[in-house]
Amino acid sequence: MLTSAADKPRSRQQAAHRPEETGKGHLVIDIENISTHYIVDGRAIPALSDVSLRVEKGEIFGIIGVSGAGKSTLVRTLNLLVRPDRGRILVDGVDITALAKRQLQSYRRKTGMIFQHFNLIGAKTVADNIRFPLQLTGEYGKAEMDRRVDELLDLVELSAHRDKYPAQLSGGQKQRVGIARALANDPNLLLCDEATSALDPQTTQSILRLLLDINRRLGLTIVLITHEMDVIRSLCDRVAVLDRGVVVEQGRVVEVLLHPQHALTRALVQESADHPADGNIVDRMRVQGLRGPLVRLTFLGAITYQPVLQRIAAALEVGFNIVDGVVGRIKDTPYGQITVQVLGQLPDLARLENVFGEHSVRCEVLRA
Amino acid sequence: MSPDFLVLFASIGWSDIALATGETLIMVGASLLFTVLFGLPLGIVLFLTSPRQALANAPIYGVLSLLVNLVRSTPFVILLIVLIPVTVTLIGTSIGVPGAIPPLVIGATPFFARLVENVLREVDRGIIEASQAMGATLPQIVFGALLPETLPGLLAAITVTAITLVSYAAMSGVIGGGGLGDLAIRFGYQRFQSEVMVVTVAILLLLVQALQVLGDRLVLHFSHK
Ligand SMILES: Nc1ncnc2c1ncn2[C@@H]1O[C@H](COP(=O)(O)OP(=O)(O)OP(=O)(O)O)[C@@H](O)[C@H]1O
Ligand SMILES: [Mg+2]
Repeated sequence: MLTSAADKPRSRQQAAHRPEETGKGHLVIDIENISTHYIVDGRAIPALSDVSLRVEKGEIFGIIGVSGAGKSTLVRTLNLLVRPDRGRILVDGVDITALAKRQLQSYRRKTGMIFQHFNLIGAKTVADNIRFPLQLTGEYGKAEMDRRVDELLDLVELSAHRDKYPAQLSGGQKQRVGIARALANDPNLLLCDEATSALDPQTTQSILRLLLDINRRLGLTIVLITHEMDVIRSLCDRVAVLDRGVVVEQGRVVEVLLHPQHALTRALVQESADHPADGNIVDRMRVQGLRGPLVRLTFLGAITYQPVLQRIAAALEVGFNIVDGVVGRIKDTPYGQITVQVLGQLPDLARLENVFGEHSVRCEVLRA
Repeated sequence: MSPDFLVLFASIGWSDIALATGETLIMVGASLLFTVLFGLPLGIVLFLTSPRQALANAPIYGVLSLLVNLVRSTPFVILLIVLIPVTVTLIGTSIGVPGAIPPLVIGATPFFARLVENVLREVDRGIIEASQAMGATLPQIVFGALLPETLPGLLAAITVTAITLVSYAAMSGVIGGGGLGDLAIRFGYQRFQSEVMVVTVAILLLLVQALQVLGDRLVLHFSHK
């Protein structure tokens, strides 16, 4: 069960590799062609149009989009706070839109949710806020609830604040209470609606670490929405990009971040880059008077740290001049993405692509 | 103090005043109890059936709202007179302390219910949403989240209602309701003993003041903002 965040680095590692063994996360969510609308001034305004997604057990699935894209609406369909007009939401094969009231209530008790503005009950202490979802089930005795509340307080490192009221807590502490409350009934799924948007960067980091830790240790499936690509980058395994109620792109985070297809995705990736590129690299090089082929190389995983360029340069008798690039990590995956000018007499680009491919380095010719 | 002044107050029947004060306290206390008993559920129903709430129901809300407004727009003196037959049917008499209580409750309940509705409306939607997301049933949301969250607001509403009842109770003296109002009318108005009027008003002021202080204390004690 739950233990404090400080101990157990070892079991955390193991859980990361075998989430299925924690006995949790036997859960697959299939969102099938859902649409919803809101009524504004008597007119129906579509909020989601034919959205389909699949969330796998144990993963952190991110949904990103600009304000008003429908992110909150989408995440709220997963516990039917918003009911889709059309389509189905299958959780382990069961269509939750067809559940009777009681069944929906017990499904919701097993689905935690945290909110941008925390939504804690101001009249209850920290401990009583966490106790509330336990009381709702009517399944626990007092001693059991006390024990569970203590465990959860320990998990989110708030034991010292148990008798305070939310108004006496910082934003980060409030969100920790929100997380403890969401985890109280041992959920199978955790929904996060902009969980860190109201927090400063440092607090954001600590909350994100906590979520990642929970995901790994409990094998808990998390669906989170955000408008910040950095949150996706540091936390998510897969991502969907939402634009005006439509999913315009989805896939593994490394894939979507390194090879964004849709214009909106590119813009969001650019925005979060350390040094936003001003325009197209090929144009910039032309302005600089750089001639010869330009290729973009993407390294993913361990290969990032290997001297691949050096080896290939020697083998093919070419030279590489790095003109742009970045090396970093996406969640746990090291990656590098660099643009190089290929130097040498008439280099054979097709061969070059093949050789890079053999080293598992993706090579795209930007200019021959 | 001048001797005249003492003479003036010497003529007051202090035992009558003590009796009347006791009656007023009973009328206010009893009617406050019933007003809260009926008004709180009515206020909750008003809130829940209002647009975009959990039990949103335009016809029910419309009818309840109309009834509430009907009572609230009727001047209390008129209400007192109109309700005499109702009171007689309910408790067999329309005068004295018991006779005053039904009109007081009927007059104050819609007022209090509307205050309750407004207090509940102030609750952040996010709290209701979070409770729903936790799988709370409607009664669990009302009793587990809404009422605890609004306790200070509800106590303030009860205070305002209690103070309103003090003045309503005094007004019920017009139809022979007993208490300080009755005293003021019988001695102060009909027998021109204006000193009785002064003392009565002073006691009423004291009562209102005490209720306000007590209410404010309670509100402060239960708010955690
Ligand atoms: N209760 C509502 N009534 C009417 N329209 C709504 C309601 N909630 C959301 N909308 C509209 O639906 C669209 C999607 O809203 P949603 O809250 O899902 O967006 P979002 O992506 O979460 O935005 P944000 O990042 O600003 O939170 C918006 O155009 C919004 O104005
Ligand atoms: Mg939102």
